[in-house]
Amino acid sequence: MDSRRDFLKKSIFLAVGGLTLKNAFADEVPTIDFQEYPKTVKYPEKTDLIMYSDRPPLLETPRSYFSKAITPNDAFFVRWHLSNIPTEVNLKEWRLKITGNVKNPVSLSMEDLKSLFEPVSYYAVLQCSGNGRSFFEKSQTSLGIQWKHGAMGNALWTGVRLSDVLNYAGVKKDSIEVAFSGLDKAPYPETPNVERSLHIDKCLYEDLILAYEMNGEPIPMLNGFPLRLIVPGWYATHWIKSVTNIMVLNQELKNFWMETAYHIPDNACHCVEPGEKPKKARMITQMNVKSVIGTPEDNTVVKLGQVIKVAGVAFDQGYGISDVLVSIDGGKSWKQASLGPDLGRYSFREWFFYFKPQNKGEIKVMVKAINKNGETQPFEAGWNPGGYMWNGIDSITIKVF
Amino acid sequence: MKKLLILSLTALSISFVKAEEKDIYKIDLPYYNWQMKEGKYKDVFEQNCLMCHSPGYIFGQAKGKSGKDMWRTVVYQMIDEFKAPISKENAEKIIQYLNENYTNK
Repeated sequence: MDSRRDFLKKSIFLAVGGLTLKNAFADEVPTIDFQEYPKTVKYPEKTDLIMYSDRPPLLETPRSYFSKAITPNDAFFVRWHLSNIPTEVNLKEWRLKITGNVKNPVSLSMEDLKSLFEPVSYYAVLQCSGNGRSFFEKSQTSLGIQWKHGAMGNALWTGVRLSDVLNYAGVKKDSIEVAFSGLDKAPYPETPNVERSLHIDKCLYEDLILAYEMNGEPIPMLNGFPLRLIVPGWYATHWIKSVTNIMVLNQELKNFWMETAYHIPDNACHCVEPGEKPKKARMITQMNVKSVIGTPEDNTVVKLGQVIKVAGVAFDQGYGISDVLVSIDGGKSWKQASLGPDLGRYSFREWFFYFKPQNKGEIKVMVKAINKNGETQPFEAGWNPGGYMWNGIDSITIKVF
Repeated sequence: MKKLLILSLTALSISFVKAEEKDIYKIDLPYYNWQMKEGKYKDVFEQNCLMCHSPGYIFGQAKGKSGKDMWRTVVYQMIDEFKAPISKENAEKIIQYLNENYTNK
């Protein structure tokens, strides 16, 4: 109750302070109005990205980056839930704590992590559950940030095996889950802080890592410096940023983040009729097969006779990509695209396709990926209230004159 | 020349990020001045919503096709799930402000 009153007092103070600040710096602070939203801006350690919110920062990678398998750190999308995010970390003081149902609770420095455990690296796609949410608009806008293609990226993650760290602390036999939380906090004390758990088998017997490097550099502050949980093949909601607390549990973690948030219809299509609520819902987990066109830009104009190169990336939940097909006749016929090098089953796979338009006019270029489990992309993804798991066939228009 | 400029800009941004001591990593977040539409109960909206998040959330949602009662759903999600300390009376005012100024059919 006290914290609530303090918050309200602080709110009023800050609201007044904020208004004064706004007036004093009116000329220097960039203005954003509804017409020019979302605006492209530059954040610390970042290049020009599409900004949906500044508190917390929500930044999308422009589509053109998705013609390459590796997304540069400065172009990598940013998504936080709660606005009190870490902006300063002193590695001398920072510790990773492993507590709860373990034999020896431990507190590890970054030096400890790097010296006690074997480093491992792999490429893995990090994708927001709501990436592509705006494309559900055709039926009905889902609630949430209206991401287009770029709430995703692929990086080389380097760190230590989660299982090595857990075994170092000694997981007790009756443990069933492991909970993770980071440095981000809610500005209002009663708002549930982000804390999520994973099944013990996933933590001990799969390939999860705690990464301290992204593409060979420290992880950018906005992407979860100094340590991020990597859950390859699963949506970003599980990839806890700026991890500081790992708690081994012998009972299920029950909170808003586990029981309500990021739930999808518990049926075969993970979908319901637009506007309806699912009868039964479950936590989102694995990603689905998807491909995105990186270049050329939508509505590119070319001369008749010019050869066009279409390039993009494809990925799935970890089976690996077997084929990428391109259509230039509105989906009637499909041709095989060439695939770039295989960087591992959790990575983006580059693809490219050359063609020479035969007539003047508009060409709709479509792409679909097929994974090694035989799954392919639908024309439209099934609607769900959270706007999750969009993997509808991507397309661009090319104008030939 | 261009390469030199890029190099010096990169050096500048790194020193900006890594501060003086090599163990301290720090960034400064930018601030934006969001132009919200004038309207009845705009003040109630500002006092109750902006402490926790940016008006960007409103802009983004308002760009889409809103279903029936979208803002009511959103405001009550903030109260019920994120525990926003908003009274029923203020909730109605906020919903009215958002419906009147940020609704797409």
